Amino acid sequence: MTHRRGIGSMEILLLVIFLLMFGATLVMVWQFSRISIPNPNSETNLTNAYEAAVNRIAQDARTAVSAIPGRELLTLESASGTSIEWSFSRGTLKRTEEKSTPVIYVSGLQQGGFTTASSTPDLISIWMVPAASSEIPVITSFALRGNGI
Amino acid sequence: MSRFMFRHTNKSSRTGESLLELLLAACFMTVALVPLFQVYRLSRPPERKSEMEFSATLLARHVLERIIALRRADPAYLPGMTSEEPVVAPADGFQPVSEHFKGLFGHENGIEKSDNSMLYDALEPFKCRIDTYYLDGGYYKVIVYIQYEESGHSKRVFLERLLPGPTATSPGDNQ
Repeated sequence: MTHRRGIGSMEILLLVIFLLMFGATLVMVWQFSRISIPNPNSETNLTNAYEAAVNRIAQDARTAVSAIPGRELLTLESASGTSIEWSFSRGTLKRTEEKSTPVIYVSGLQQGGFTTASSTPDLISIWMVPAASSEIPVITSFALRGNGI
Repeated sequence: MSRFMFRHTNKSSRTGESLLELLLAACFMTVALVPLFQVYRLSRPPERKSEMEFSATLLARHVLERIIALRRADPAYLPGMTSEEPVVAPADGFQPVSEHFKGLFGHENGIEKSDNSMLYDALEPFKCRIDTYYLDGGYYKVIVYIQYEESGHSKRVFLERLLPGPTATSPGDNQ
């Protein structure tokens, strides 16, 4: 008569538990990575482009001490004397830092511009209207912080 | 022969034990990955759900940045509480525009349809409400709510900021 005792079956049980847990972990990792994988159209997605531009302007405004806002051209001057230009031209929003090559942040715009209110001269508003009617127009603002607040 | 079997049993028992330990360790390590991934998930910025939500976030950002700009001009400035107000003048014209959206495009009532009809139409569904609280330590909390309707549901986005409040005067100063 053969007796299969404890140790073997325990190992098999643990192996099964381990495999289940490992499988569950792999599924979880896959779920997380699926969330973090950007949309395949991210580079052409206007909302992502808006977001990148907004984050960059916010960074520039954080160090800016003064601004010269025009209808389609915004010049930000930092305390160190660096000058950064944001401009709308031919349906794009681009950033030019000093003498470096302009970087296009948003394209596919029908219209866009900068505006400021007389009551808040240190607040620069930017608005963008996309050429594609399926995309959303946006408006937001940036306070010039001059490395403060 | 019996010595050989004893050795063999001993060896297989040792192998069994080490395999058991190995599997137990693997199980614990796998369980330890769960909180690790939870921390990873929590550390990630929340996912954006819709374009309306993105737009609402930008509007809330506008309000907070305006408050910062006003405080930069006047450090004593503190925004007041407001009820739900439209961000652009409604077509019926009954409700006043939120003060934080007035003056945009150089108009008293903020953005008008004549400035850009697409922008006006896109902003029409949004409403702005400000809540403020005095906190311990002389701080002033501002919460900006941007409300909108999407798929028949009322939704809102909020951003908050802590501002240093007016410094409390000591009783001796009043004498």
